[in-house]
Amino acid sequence: MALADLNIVLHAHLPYVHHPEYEDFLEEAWLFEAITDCYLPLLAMLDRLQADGVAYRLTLSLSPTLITLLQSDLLQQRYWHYLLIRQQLIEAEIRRTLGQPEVQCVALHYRQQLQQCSQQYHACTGDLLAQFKHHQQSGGLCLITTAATHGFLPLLRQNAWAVRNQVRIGLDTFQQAFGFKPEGFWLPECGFYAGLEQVLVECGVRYFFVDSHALEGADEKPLKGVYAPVDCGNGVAAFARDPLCSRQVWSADEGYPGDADYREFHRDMGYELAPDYLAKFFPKDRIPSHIGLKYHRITGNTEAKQWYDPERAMQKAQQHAEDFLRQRQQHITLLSRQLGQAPIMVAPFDAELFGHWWYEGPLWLEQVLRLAASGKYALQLQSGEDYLATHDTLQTLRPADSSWGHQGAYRYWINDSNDWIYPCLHQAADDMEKLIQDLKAVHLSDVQERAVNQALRSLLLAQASDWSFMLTAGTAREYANKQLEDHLARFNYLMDGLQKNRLDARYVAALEIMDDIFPTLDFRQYE
Amino acid sequence: MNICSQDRSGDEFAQTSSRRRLRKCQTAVKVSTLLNGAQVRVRITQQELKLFQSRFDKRLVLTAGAIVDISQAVSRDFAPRMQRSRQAVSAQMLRDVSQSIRRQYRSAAQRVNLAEPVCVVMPVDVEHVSVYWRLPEAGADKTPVIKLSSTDVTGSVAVFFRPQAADPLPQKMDILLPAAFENRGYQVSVGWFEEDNQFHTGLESACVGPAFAKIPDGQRQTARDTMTTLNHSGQGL
Repeated sequence: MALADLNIVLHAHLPYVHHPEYEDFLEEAWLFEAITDCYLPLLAMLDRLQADGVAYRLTLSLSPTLITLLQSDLLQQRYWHYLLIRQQLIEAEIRRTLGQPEVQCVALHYRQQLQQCSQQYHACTGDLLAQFKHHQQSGGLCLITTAATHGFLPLLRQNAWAVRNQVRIGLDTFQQAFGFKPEGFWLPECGFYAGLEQVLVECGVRYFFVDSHALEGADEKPLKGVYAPVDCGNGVAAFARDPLCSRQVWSADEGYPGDADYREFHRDMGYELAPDYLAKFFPKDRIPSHIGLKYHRITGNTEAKQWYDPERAMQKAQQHAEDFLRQRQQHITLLSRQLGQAPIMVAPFDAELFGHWWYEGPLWLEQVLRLAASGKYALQLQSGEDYLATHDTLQTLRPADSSWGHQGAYRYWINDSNDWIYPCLHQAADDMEKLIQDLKAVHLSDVQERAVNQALRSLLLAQASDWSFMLTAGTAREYANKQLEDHLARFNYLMDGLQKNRLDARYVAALEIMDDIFPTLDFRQYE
Repeated sequence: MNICSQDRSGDEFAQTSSRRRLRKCQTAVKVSTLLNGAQVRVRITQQELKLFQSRFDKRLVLTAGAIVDISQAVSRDFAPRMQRSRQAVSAQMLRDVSQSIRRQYRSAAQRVNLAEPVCVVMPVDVEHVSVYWRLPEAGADKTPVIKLSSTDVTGSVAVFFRPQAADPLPQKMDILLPAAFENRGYQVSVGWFEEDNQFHTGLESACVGPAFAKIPDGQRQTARDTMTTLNHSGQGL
């Protein structure tokens, strides 16, 4: 019997948190935490797999926004500062917890982790993208990308130009960073609508990922369920998420990250340590707050949390990796009988789950990749392009409108908390498209040329799905509102200045500094 | 995504923006040693000394303070008027929020409101669509009525909805799709009833194809949706 395929996909994305106008900025820590907890541990994992000659295959989607953030000199410099403060805090913690061996052992564990991070970061001189590229060139890592600023495309489709530019600028940004155009594309939030497949194929995309709802509700019954990609009718392939794979990691009730032995994310020492003590490391106006220092394990459904035991958690991650593959094995046996062929199981996750939210996630993933590559199970690790290279004929059907939100619908990104966004975004896209058309044959001054490009950047930044997501989730709501208001206001300012020929060069320069995304953007390429 | 765990409280932005202004400092660069022995140049409080240049215009040099001022000026004068959600809040809080928004955005350029008449339909889920519209001037003083009509050639169906009045422009409405529209294409018209009870169409949306497929119970491969995870503390990841 042919081996089944397992396609593990990590999608890495953060909102554009870049604030040179402030000495330090709370939300920039999202990037620094993700680098420390997630991206560097993932790279360390890839280094180990390569060093051990493990024939793994892993797909990683890097969003253009994240690519830009990781390229920023300013943020790289600030990350060094972040690491330094973290290291000073841990040293103080090791002294403070003297006489509390159970706690100190966790602090020592963090010291080791931070040392590793700073060594890694120093060794690659802050260029994480070069490290990802190295692993892509080594053959283990399959790199893909997503829409320019992670716009939720189904709700931007009112203006086809806006959707096309999210896709094109995303692909162009990736190509500038990595030197090639990816074959695969991650739809932000797995948001799909009928017609999007045509935009993708026109932009050179060969395959993309959808939620299981897209195939379950397709115009024809998918003969292999979600266990084989489909041809959308124009040659572009859609791979659907396997809900069973997802459930074991994401599920509220039975997902691995909720295990009692794993680190408790929500019990943060930033709320428990004395303010005077914390003030040595953090600005006073940020105390108390989340500082990323956690000493407890989940323990159970109780507030009386026990101390975290890194060794015990590591063992549990290994057990969970074995369990994950054992369950895949059982499912493969069942599916192979039902389908008459070996299935492909697609397991996509937010990359930031691994290490940040689920601290032991990278350990689990490493073990899954090692075990899957060992030949012990009747499966092989494959990427989307690996699969398409060996499968000529796919069933043709039209996937249903869908996302990976609740019930496969769009509700999370359009509801009472955020629906005011869309008239603004649609109007701005219409205005921008018209302006670019009007300027086709017009000679512009340098500042006017830059203002048009900057208006396009502001529009793209306002379109990010992050803001509507945060407004619904209720996390960082003030920040999401402020960013939306600022990006739309900046767009309006630039349009107004262009129309009235009243641009202030200082203003334009200031906006370029703050929203320093897609530096080579040329609006004339996106008519 | 969703790494965004840290939250600012209330109107911290407004309160702290001046505090966040960067202090001038004599030390330009501080050399610090990390645990691995690497020496790094760290800038901590000298941000004000740092001068920023746009990568597109090296002649202009701006301080962080100047950039903050420009950012605030642009936001003050050009932020769009926005329609905040209706949260479960006290009347007093509503008044406070209303005053605050009015104060902040009174002078904002009302680009969206000045725009052309439009009627946009956005599918939300299998049972709902969200509609927003701006009526042409001729219908501006009328009480708007939404007409939902099927675009199928067989068995034409039309249903009318009356949106809540007094919403700011553009007006919007979340429509519960009647069962007759299940898996069918449809179009939304916004108009008003004339004195003779005839519906007058002011605007029409584009046609919308059947969007989300209703999947019968039991056909679903998983009974649950897995967007967010809870750990055993009952808190979301």
